Amino acid sequence: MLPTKVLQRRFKIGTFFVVGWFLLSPVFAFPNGVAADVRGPTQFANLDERIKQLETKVQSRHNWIYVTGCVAVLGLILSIINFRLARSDRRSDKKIKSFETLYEAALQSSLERLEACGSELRTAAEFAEPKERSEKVKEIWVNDFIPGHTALTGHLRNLDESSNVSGNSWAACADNPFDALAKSIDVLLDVERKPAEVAIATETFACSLRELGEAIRTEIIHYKILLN
Amino acid sequence: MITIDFDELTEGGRVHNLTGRDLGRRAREQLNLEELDKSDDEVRILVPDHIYLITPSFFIGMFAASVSLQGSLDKFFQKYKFESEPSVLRQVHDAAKRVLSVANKGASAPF
Repeated sequence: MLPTKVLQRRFKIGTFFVVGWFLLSPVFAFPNGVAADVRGPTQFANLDERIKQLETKVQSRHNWIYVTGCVAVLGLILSIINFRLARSDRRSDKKIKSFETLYEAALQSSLERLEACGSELRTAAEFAEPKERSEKVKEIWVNDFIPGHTALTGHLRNLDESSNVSGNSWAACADNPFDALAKSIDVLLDVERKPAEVAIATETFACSLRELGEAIRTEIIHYKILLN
Repeated sequence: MITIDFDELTEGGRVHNLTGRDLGRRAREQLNLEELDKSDDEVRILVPDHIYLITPSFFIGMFAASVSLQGSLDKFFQKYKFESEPSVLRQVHDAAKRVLSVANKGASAPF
């Protein structure tokens, strides 16, 4: 299906053709003016010829009326469709605006909060002493990251509840990266892990956080496209 | 009342975050939730303090069928009584809401 704006443009062009027909076709159909055309010259040299001439003109006038009637109906249909498209366009603009106000800003700020926690967590993961690392990671994970993620999934769930997309969950987009994040945290919390394992887990954490951000931002764009 | 202790899923306290739909499904089988869903018994679920997080995907793997079967949050939480830290309880509530929210929209396989 073509986007509304493209359809609207096409229907506008169609409407211009219809209006153009009404304005220009009488000029070509009755170059001498309507009254002159019917009245004709007052002197006749050959009556039969004149009658034929008038019959042809009447026929061409009927044709013109028939075509103009069709064009008028077409114009009316085009105008109605154009009006409805414009109205649906205004509605989708309103929906996008309310999405931006209600959800997008909240999602973005939650995500930024998580990203800030993520960089703190990465710094904490670099502590050489395992116990210190574990405690610091736990503190940030439990006090900052998890509440931040709960807020983020809350916004996504609100989006789920307010959207009419059947069988789809916006919140699902965050599942896989968040699972990977949580698994890597388990490694960082474990004091018995070797430095190499900790390094891999830190890297996995950073990658998963990036994926989480990308997933959310992609869903925001996807949702806006759907609203359009 | 039947009691389920999530400590069984933590490899002796090494796992602090319960993640992944597959792990949730395995836990469902391991703890025989299919049978518990059908019974009239209430189920007490103990979540130890060293579990910081139950991810939505884990919850969905483990409890989506139970939530759908009960049909409402109230009925689900009347049958399955979670004893946990408030933050974990909130995660569980949020995930259960998500199950119902998607299931109510008519998805054949929610989420």
